[in-house]
Amino acid sequence: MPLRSFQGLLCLLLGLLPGCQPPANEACVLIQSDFEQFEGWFDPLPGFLNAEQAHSGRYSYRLGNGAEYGSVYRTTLANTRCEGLPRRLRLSAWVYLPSGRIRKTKLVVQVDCHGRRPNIWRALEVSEVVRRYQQWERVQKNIALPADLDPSDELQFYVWHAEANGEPTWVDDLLVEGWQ
Amino acid sequence: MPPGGLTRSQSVLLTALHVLLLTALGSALYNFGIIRYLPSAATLDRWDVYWYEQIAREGYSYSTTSTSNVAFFPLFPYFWRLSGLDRLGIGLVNAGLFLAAFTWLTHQLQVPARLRLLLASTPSLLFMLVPYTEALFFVFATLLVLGLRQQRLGWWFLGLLGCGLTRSASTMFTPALLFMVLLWAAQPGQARTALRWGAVGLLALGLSVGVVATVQWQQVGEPFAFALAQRFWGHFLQMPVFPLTDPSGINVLWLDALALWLGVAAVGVCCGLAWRWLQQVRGGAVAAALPPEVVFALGYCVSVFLFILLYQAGSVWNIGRYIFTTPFFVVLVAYLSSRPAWPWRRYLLLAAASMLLWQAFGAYTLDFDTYTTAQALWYFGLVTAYLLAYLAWRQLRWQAEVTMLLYVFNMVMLFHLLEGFLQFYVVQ
Repeated sequence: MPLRSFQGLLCLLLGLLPGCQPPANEACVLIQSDFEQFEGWFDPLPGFLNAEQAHSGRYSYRLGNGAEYGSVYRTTLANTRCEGLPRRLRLSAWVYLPSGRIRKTKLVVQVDCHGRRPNIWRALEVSEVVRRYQQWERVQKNIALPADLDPSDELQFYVWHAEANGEPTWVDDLLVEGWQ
Repeated sequence: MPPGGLTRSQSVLLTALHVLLLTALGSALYNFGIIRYLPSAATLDRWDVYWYEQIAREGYSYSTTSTSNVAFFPLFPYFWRLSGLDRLGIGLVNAGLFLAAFTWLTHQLQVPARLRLLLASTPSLLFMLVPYTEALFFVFATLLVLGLRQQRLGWWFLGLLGCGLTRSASTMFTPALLFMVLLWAAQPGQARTALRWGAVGLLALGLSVGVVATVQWQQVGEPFAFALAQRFWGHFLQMPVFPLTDPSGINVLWLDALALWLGVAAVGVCCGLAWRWLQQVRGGAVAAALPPEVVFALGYCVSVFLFILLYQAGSVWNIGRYIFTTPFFVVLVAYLSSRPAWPWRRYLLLAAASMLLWQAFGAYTLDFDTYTTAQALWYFGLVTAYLLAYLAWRQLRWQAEVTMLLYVFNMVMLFHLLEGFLQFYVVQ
């Protein structure tokens, strides 16, 4: 039995750990950041970067108290390393929550289609899925995309603190992958 | 033989035993540091407690542009004001009221002792320990249930009136009441009795709405402020968005999913009853009637299910609280436990149907965020197993062992959710 099939079977039967993922052989990376690459290029560093908590390296993305939106990452679909336009996305990241009082906090993936068609807006509600605090937790969300996207459409990622009175949230090792 | 095999004293002792076990487990979990918070005047200052306390201290205030306390009904906050107690004090009074009503209800319904302990451990009952309306609602709903069961019209009237003054119960109760009267009136020689009970019930609900409207009219100048304020809590008629979600998170979702299941089951049973009624009206045979309190409980579950589905845009939060903390849940479980055993293949079918229902949460389509399909399957598989344990409880070979396992699990979950509530986490 090929190793990949065996892993798939194992994941199906015992796939109770976050390590079990769909096969990623055709995945391409649309957004990837461990937030380390800004050091040396900016002084002072952008406000969303901080060294208070980090899953890897020294820096992570932080949305502080009272802030409703974090910085937005933008790229066109044509600028990604994918060969064609993806039909499915998977957002994954590591988040650090100080407590359950973060209130509604969403990792948002948006495809801005510039009025050509309705924008695509999908959000991972962190407060619903993370139940361990003061430690890094991996989260992920799968997103289906329509067939009529255009290479000029803009992919955006940001953190939306819908209830800005909640506690801060840290995000690190962000990855958005796409599949045909 | 006394009801449920227990005398009145034994029923009281059983409740005392439950309180002792609850205290023992709670103190152990707290001392070992597994839970870190207990109810106190400070830790109970959470969520809707703010609004009830505001009404208790200052009366009603109304805003046409944002959330205000007029959305909450007056009986509990005015009872709190009258008591003069602090948050912990009123929380303890709530717990006492609930335990008294629960003991009375389960004694009168002749619920077996083990099942009483199991029902008393329902995790959603954490809301009986906080300054919320659940306990008072339970007391009055018990009165209306036992009024129906023992044919005491005064209890029925007072129960409905009390519920209607405690919460916006008339919205949920009116369809349930009409459905119950419809079926009851179809029984031979029961039409006049059913209509009388229906009329008295509607009078009680109308009176409760009238009293609330008068109080709010006097205090804020708007008699229907309680209805107008609902939109600021996002409660307005809208299409549900699938997959369903639960802002209370993964540790409350299973309870809300089970309440949703009960809502769907109640819809199915009520449709069956309506069909049977239609056949009877067309000249068919008179079918054996379900007790009116059971029909009312089913109707209540249907109303809550439809309200959650049509007024919360796909969010199922609160459905567990609205269903599991009421005597209607006790009535339905007690009724099921008194029925003859089902064939095991029926449970297989129910398990399969339940696993299909969980797709409403996107369990098998990668829409169940952060969980892989296998993980979601495991999560909902466990939820289904929990459900089947309740459904098949009366015919389980290892009933004592299963009851003990569920009892301890439920109480640990109760303390876990209570601790979350006391920390201002989202637990609804």
